[in-house]
Amino acid sequence: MNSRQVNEVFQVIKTSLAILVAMVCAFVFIFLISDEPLTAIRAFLWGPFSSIRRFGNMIEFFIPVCFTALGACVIFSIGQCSVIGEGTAFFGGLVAAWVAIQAGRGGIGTQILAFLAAALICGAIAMIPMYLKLRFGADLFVDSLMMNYVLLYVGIFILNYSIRDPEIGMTASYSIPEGAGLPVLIPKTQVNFALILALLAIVATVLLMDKTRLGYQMRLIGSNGQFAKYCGIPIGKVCMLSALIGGVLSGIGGAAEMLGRYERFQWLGLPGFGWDGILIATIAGFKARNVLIAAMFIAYIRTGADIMNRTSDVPSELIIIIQSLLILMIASRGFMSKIHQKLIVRHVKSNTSEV
Amino acid sequence: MYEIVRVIFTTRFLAGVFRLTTPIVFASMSCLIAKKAGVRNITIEGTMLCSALTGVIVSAFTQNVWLGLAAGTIAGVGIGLFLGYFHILMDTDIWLTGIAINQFANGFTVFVMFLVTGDKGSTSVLPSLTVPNIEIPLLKDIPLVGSVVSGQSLFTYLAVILIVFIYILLYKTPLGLRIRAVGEYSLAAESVGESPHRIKLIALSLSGLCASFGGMFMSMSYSSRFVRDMVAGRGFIGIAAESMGGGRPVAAAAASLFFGLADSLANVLQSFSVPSELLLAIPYLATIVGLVVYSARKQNEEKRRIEKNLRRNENGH
Repeated sequence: MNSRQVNEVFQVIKTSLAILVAMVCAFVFIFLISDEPLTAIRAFLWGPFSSIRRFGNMIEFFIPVCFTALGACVIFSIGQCSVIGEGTAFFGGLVAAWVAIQAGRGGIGTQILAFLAAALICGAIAMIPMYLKLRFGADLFVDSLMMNYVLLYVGIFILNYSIRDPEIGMTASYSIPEGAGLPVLIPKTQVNFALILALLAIVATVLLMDKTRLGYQMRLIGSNGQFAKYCGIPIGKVCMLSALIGGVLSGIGGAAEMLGRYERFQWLGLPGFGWDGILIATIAGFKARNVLIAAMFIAYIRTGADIMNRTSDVPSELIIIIQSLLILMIASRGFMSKIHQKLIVRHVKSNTSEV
Repeated sequence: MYEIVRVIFTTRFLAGVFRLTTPIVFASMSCLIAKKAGVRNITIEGTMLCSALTGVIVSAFTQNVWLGLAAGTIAGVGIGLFLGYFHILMDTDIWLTGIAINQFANGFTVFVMFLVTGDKGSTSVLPSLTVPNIEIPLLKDIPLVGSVVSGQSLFTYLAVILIVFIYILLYKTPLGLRIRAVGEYSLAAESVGESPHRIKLIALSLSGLCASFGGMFMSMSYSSRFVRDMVAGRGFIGIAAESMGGGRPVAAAAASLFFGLADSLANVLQSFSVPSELLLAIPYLATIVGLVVYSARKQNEEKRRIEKNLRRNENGH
């Protein structure tokens, strides 16, 4: 075992232990507040597998956050904190719905056009805060956060003045034309073709980050910006590309959610996919190849929480609390650092004794 | 157009500007003091939510508004220390900690509200108390000015006092000097026997304290109950105001006033035929533009300074 493998094993142990601690916390809470804790826990743990529809709910939750988590992996790989994934996922959904409604008919052409438009527009939007950061030194976190709200209100403006259907009793767009929605894969659920797109996106992002020059440059900037600069890596260009790819991914996520599960565009607030994406990326250690399992895990506990909310007296928000504690434990370098130290020391010792 | 101008130049509008500026001032001061100690506190939004709810619940159950206030501030300081524990002692990335704590606050407030009231939307069933508005004896008799400046919430005056307090604390006291020293270069502070961890934790609890006032203003003065997500990004706007102020308390307060103005304008213009969605975007757009202008100016100054130094060196040789 080399020291890199020791580190990886340690990460796995640490993540599993954090999950265990978080789950124990959840159960303690449930026992404290619930009148029928065992029913609640059973609903939480087995709920997602108790029927095909509920299993479907889990996959449906997985699809958009998988895209935004991949986007977060790419953007955070350069060591910058941009939270634009939230706004671009929202806007991606809007753009896809807008294109489909304007096209007025379904078919593969409309679908491709809708995805392309969402990807390109969201990619371009995600580059704006990054550009302001690189050119003027403006704070990336604040700018990208403010951008989210601007996107939200501009999006609602477009909904109201361009595609709003005046004949139904709620604020929603005209219905997305028949055949523009993505085909359903599992009957009785809304699990749709976007699942395949999400899996392809994981493969593509892994290849990009691990096997291409651009991915290597991004990771190098993230781990040591000064070194990357003196190596002659075009920092500005690589950062802009990373923002572009991050925006494209989360934009596609929003578009997939919209065309996969909705008949009309009806989001009047930010959907939260971007924040979930960052949390999932954290659990995945910002490595694209871990996103599948991390996103599935979050989808599992969130679906379980929803079912528990409906079938028992424990509110689903409990899981939001537990989930953030989990993130804190996984992200902290201090958590279990002594054990990490010991593992490394033992490893080094065993290596030197062999020599 | 004439109508709009007429509404804007009323004392009611101006009083509204001060009211909407209040939470943003608290948030920007909260951000400022943490940043001076070298910690980027983005949990202000979540801290405000937690304090807002704590204040409401405690004031409702004790029927004592001051106990409510005390509990709210304790909650705020608690979140500040929670952030400090994870960021400083457990060495967790500040952005991830911040994002996680904000999510925590979102879930936690709804969770607790549901346990206490059985409702996930608001605490309207709780008989919670509000902080009184205060008439200022001499000021209130001045025509026009009186009706703007007097009769505001206790929190609004507290915000004004806080700006002065933070200024004096940072620039005129030993603790302020230590905070700034740790923020500028913590190794230097450490070398003279100062513990950066301790100073950072103190700064973070002060930061939580400032944010808690902003939160309690929302639920115990601006409105008389807690509503989920009621802070609605004001904590984040405070962070932006702090950035625009460039780390100076008074400038940050001025920037907050600008956001308060944009917020009230959006409120007023809604009753005219201007699309309200675009107006709601104004404060956020203004933040981006303001930040860019500020950063660009700072960058230019820096460039000029370096050029000047270079020229001086050339002349010297």
